[in-house]
Formats: sequence, C-alpha cells, structure tokens
Amino acid sequence: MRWWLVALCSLTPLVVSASETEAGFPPPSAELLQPRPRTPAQPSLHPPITLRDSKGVAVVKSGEAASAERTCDGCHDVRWIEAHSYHTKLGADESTARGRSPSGRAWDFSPGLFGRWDPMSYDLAPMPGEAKFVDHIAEWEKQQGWRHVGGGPAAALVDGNCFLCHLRNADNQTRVGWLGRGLFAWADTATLASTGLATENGERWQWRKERFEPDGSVPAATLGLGRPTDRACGFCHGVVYQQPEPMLLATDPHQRMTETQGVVFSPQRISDSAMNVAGKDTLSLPWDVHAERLVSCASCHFSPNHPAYSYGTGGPGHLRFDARRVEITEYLRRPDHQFAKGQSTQATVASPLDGSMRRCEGCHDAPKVHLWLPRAERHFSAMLCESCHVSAAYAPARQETDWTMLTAAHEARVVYREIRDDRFILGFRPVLLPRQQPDGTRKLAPNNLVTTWFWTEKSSEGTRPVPLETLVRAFFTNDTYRPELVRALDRDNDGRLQDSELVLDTAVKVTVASDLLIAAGAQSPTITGEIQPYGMHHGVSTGRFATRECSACHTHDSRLSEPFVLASSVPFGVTPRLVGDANLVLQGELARDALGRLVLHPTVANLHVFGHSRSYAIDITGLVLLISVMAGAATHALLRVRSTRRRRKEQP
Amino acid sequence: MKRVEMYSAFERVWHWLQALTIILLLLTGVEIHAPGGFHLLGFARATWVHEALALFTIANAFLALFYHLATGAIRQFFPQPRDFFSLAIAQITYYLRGIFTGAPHPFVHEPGRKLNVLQQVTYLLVLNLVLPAQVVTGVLMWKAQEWAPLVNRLGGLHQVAHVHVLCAWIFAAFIVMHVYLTTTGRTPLAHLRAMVLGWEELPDEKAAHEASHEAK
Repeated sequence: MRWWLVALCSLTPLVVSASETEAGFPPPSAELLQPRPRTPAQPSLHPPITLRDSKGVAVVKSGEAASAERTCDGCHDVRWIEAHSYHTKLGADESTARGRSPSGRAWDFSPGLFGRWDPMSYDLAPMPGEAKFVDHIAEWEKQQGWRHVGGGPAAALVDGNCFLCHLRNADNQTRVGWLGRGLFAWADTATLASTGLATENGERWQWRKERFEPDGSVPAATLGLGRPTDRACGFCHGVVYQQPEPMLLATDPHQRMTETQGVVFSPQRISDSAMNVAGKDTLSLPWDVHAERLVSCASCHFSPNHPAYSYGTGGPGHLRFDARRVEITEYLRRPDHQFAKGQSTQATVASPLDGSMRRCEGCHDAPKVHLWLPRAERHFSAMLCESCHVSAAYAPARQETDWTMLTAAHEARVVYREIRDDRFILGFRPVLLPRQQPDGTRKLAPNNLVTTWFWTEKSSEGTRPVPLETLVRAFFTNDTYRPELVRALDRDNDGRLQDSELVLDTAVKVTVASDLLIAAGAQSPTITGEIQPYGMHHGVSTGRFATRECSACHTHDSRLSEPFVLASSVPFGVTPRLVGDANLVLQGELARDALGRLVLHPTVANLHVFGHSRSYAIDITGLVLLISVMAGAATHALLRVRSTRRRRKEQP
Repeated sequence: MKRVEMYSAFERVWHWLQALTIILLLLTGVEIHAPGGFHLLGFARATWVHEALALFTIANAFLALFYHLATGAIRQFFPQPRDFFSLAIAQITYYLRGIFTGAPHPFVHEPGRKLNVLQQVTYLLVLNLVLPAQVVTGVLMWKAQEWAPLVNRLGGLHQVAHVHVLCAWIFAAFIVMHVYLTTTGRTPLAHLRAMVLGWEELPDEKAAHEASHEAK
C-alpha cells in the first residue's frame, strides 16, 4: 500500500506545479498510484490467443516483444481499426498548414492533441514533414505517450496498443514508464505486466513460459480480455474510481477531465470520499450518477457500428428505425473505433463526429420526470440538461495556468478554483454560456473557463510559444532565480520568490522578464492570454441534487450573471481572448474586481429569461408613468378637498 | 333626485371579476418580472397563476364583448363626431377648474349613456390597442416554444416581453386613474356604490339638462 504517498500528495499546496520525476518523465497520476492488482481469472468468451511479436512469431518462441497489432490482427482487422480511430491519429489526419487550424493559433496545425497546442503541458508537437520530425516524434512520444494509445503519427515507433483498453488489468503505469525511457518496442509487453506473463529484465522483458499453455497460447481469462472498461478510459481522460475505499485525489495535470472540470467518474458518494470538501456531510450524492447506475463510458461513447448501440438510422428517410445491422462477426472483425462523441468545447478533434454520441435525451424521457417544471420544453430547448444536472463540481479544478514566470520546479504557476485557505474544497458552480449546437441553435451549457498566460515570440518558424528551455535559461541560473528577477518580484524582500510573487503585474516586472528572455534568445517576446472553455458534461447528479430552485436563474442577480473568476492576477497590459475553436460565445464583460482578479460578468443577451432579463428603459418609463398618474391623482384629490372645505366655509 | 339601476347584475359581477383578475395579474406579473424584489407566491406558482388568470381574463373579455354586442351596449363606447371637441374641452375644463369651484358635472351619466367623451376615448385606446397587445404578447410568451418562428419574426422574445411589460405598466396607471375618477361623481363614493349595489341617485332630467347646457 502506498497510502503514505497518496496522503503526502494531498498535503501539497493546491497552488502547485506538478514536479517532474527524477528521470524527467511525467509525474504519475492518481490513477497510476493505485495498487496494481494481480490478475484474477476473469471470465471471458474470447478464445485463447497467441501473443506474437512484430514479425508475427509467437513470443514464447522468439522471446521478443509482443505486438498487440500482430497478435490481434489474425481475427480483427487491425489496420482498418487504426484507420478508423481518432484515438490513434489524434488529429494528425486533419493536419493543415500551421496557423490554419480552427484554434486560430499561429503555431497549431491540427484540431487534435497532435498539433493543437496544449497549454497545460506546454507541448509543441512536431509537424509531419518538418525537419527532424523523426527525432521530435520520439521525444514527443516519450513525453506525451501517456495519452496516446500508439499508432497514428507515431506508428513508426509505437504500435497501436490494443491491450491498453481491452485488458481489464492493463498496466498503464508500467507502459508509460517504458515509453518514457524510449523503449517503445516493449510498451505493449509492459502493458501486460499485471498478467504475470513476463518479468522485467533490464531493458527488455523475459517471458515466463510456464504461464503459457503448451501450445503457446494464453487463455483470455488470464489476460482479462474484453470490451474496454471505464478504467481504461480513465488512463487518459480523468479520474475513474471504482474502489470501495474512500477516494483521495491529488491534483494531477494528467487527469484532464478532473483537472479541468473538477469531475470524477465514480459511484462513490462525495460524503464517503476522503476528500476535504467543505460541507461534505450534506453531499450524499455520487461523484457521477451514471457511474453509480452502472452506465459505462462506452454506453454513450459507443462504436458507431456496434450492432446494439448504433442508432440504426441513416437509411432511407421514411424509416424510423433501420432493423438491418452489421453481423456480430463483421462487427468483431471491424469494430469502428471512431467512437461516438459529443461536441464539448475542448473536444475539437474529429469534428464530423460531433454530436454523434448518445446524449441525455437518447436514454431519458425528460418530459415525464419534469412535470413539475413550468415550460419544460422551453427549458429543454434553451439549455442542456447539464446546466442543471452538473450544478457544481467538487474536485479541484484549474482556474489558471501561468507560464509567464516559472516556479522553482520550472513549471507553470497553477491556481485552482474555490479552494479555501485551509485547503478545503468549496466546489464551484460552472458558468453557463451559450453553446453552438449541431443544428445551428444555441443552448446554455455549463463550463469551466481556464485562463493561460504565456510568452510568445516571432521566430523564423512564425509566432509560437517561447520554448520551455528558453524560459528556464532566461529565468534561472544554477537552478535559482536570476538576481534581477528576485529584485523585481520579491514583494516581501525576503530574498526568495514565493509562488504568489511570480506575477508580472507591473510594466517594470514585464520589462525585466522580457529583457531576460531576449538575452536568452527569444525574439520579440510578448505575453499572450488565452481562455480555454471546458464544457462540463460529466459529474452528473440526480434531480435531487440538481438545480431546482427557479431563483437560481430567474432573478435579476441570478447565476446567469454571476461573476466568474478567470484569473487571480493579470500580467500587465494583457487581455485574454477566447480560443478560436471554442463553439460557444463568451457573452459578457471582462473586468477587474476589487481584489485585482480578472472576472467575467456573463450575460444571456440572446435569451429572455423571465425574472432575469429586463429593459431598464421600459421599466423606468412605466414607473414614471405610474408615479406621475398617482401624483397627479393625489394632487387633484388634495386640491378638491381644499376647495370643498373652502366653499363650505364660504357658504353661510 | 331619482334612483336608477345603473349596472345590471351581470355587469357588476363581470366588472369585479375583471378587476380582481387584472389586479392579481399585475401582482403575479410583478413577481415574475422581479422575483427578487417581490415575493407573493413564489416564481413557479406565480407563473402558473398568472397563466390561469390570463386565460380567465381573456374568456371574461370575450363574454363581455358578446354581452355588449348582443345588448347593443357597445354603442356607448364610441364617441360621436358631433360635439366631440366641445364635449372633450368641457370635460377637461371641468376636471381642471369646475370640479374645484363646485360647478355641475358637464356629463350626467345614465343607464344607456355611462361614459363621457374622455372615457370613451380612453376605453377605445385601452380596449383596442393596449388590451389586444397585452393578450397577443402574453400568448406569444406562453407559446414561445411552439411558435418560435413567429416570435422571432416579431423581434424575438425580448421584444415581445418588452411590449407586454410596457402594456402592464399602462394598465397599472390606467387602474389608478380609473379608481380615482370613480370619486368624481356626485359624491366621492357614488360611482363605487353604484358598481357594488347597481343603483345610483341621479338628478332629475330638468336639472341635468340645465347643468349640461350650462357646461356647454
């Protein structure tokens, strides 16, 4: 058990930067910190398989590294599968010239992870066809292989790793370790570590022949072969927690969904977790109700040609349901890995598949359970279900990433949302912003907005983020901050720079940092600010914990206009802008509050929300009219009373 | 003085029902419009009640229209071109001066002639412009989802709602004025009593005629 390590991680400040490990590998994620289970025999209908190497020879004979592609290719059309999988291609097949991708960034060349700059990892993918691409792709795979299943742009180095998703106990931790060491050929074998079929032996693995059948095959039960599990999705997408022990998380940039949206896919109740959530006792809701109700990731993000899950439409227009389906054998040979997807603001890859997933209304008959809701259909047409059913997030979620000054660990300064001074998580309410729907309409959707500040330069390759190496060279000497930086930023004059002091909020500080960057080789460095919205579609709660009070939206100062903090501090003279490929409208006004924070004051200009939307001109006009009439009537009445009294007095 | 039946039982019941529903519509409307500043039923309940009252008011209005058409009473709502301006000026002069000097009312209302020329003009505007606008915009807001294309053609829900709110303000002002003017009868409570009991004491014909002539 490594509880001490988990506990230690939880004690790290929540304004942190993830430190690199000694070997320079990405830090282990919370999921990877879970104890590795040894293979329990899992029932499986899959026939025994023969593990094969890259030449197709059984590994028990050759002793070489296993190749998932060659192993599975006997029955499944692996080449076809890889050709129909945005998980392997990561957008490389949608490449454009630099600066032409939907993000609008001058250095991006694709809408996917491979080619779209990731402000959290500061990763600049090499562009196919550019000089030294082969060298760069190896380095990229070492650093970013933790979120790449293999194949695609790195096909020359790393096979598509079927084992990673289709083995119940795939060992991702070991796989990532071997990728990080550049031992790509053994990555598939490392994924089998928990099966006990092979043991590490220096820079290779030794197959344990006694664990194989006499004919060289391996029972599927030993491998735990089957459909992908939620756990496998969690390797790259976020925390999936299915253990009975109280859940404890450390902040981890590798758990993207959790890090960016504060959500966890777990059936465990928040009140039963070991997280320091303020008011936890009252939060007797699961982290995600779908996890509690045994709905898996693949239930919604299914294979489009899955005989049971596919919509069965798309045939002749007069058919409401097309009963003709792919035979199960054909499906198993060529399961389409272009998984059904939503169209959240951050999921920009494979946009033709946007909205192909089974959304809430695909399973739920919402009108039946919203009889209490006035104008239910109007609500459904104006907002996504998540607007009420993802009312708050209780895992630490990122608010801003500041690369303009590096921490002592050479990482970005990261600030999380709604963390109290005593480190208790308060939870945050997502901001509701209008999202562009596939049918062209707009609906309010919940989002977290993460602001990133970073330096860009105009290099010979065009505008791009200043390389991390340049930043380190500019700001540090012998692994300590340069004296001129300390002089400029050390507010408390203690001779050291705290994380809270790493803010370039004055012209002088910006000039000092800029001069250092120029001296380190950066060309015309300028600070850029960017807002990346993250649509929140997981962490769903039942109606009991959803937003039910009308006043949440139908008051003048409701959550629809609730200020949403974008950044705790702002570099001098910089205004962030929305990334170009966000399919939502950043309606509202950016302003600084009394604490100097950058705040979005959202509006719902395109919607009329009763109780919230109003025209001051009409209300003032009406009020003036009413008051005038009342005043006129009162004055007239008063004069009548006086004149009547006067007349009575005058009468004899 | 003579005692005449000014309002039939139907007219009185209709009037007070309409008054009650309009006041409740205004109150629930205020709660829907500014739920943070005014709390009566709660937003959701206020919405339900507002919609129900609106339907009732529309039905009541149509009943009244039928009644006035069937009985011919609708004629008294239309001002006659003959003497229109002189009557209007006389009425305005009375409200601005005569009422303070004890001058006789230039218009003596009777069972078949209840509205003076200013009232006729006001009712003509309220019943033919403000009320239809209020009803139409209300229905459009109610059916905004189903009739979205129509609502959008009219400028969207924003514009429709703004017209609805403006009409509500006008109705509120109209009610204040209406209630105040009920006190301008022979005695401050004469008109109100008539609308409650149906009977009102009127001057005899000769006196009324002289008063009317003097006012002209």
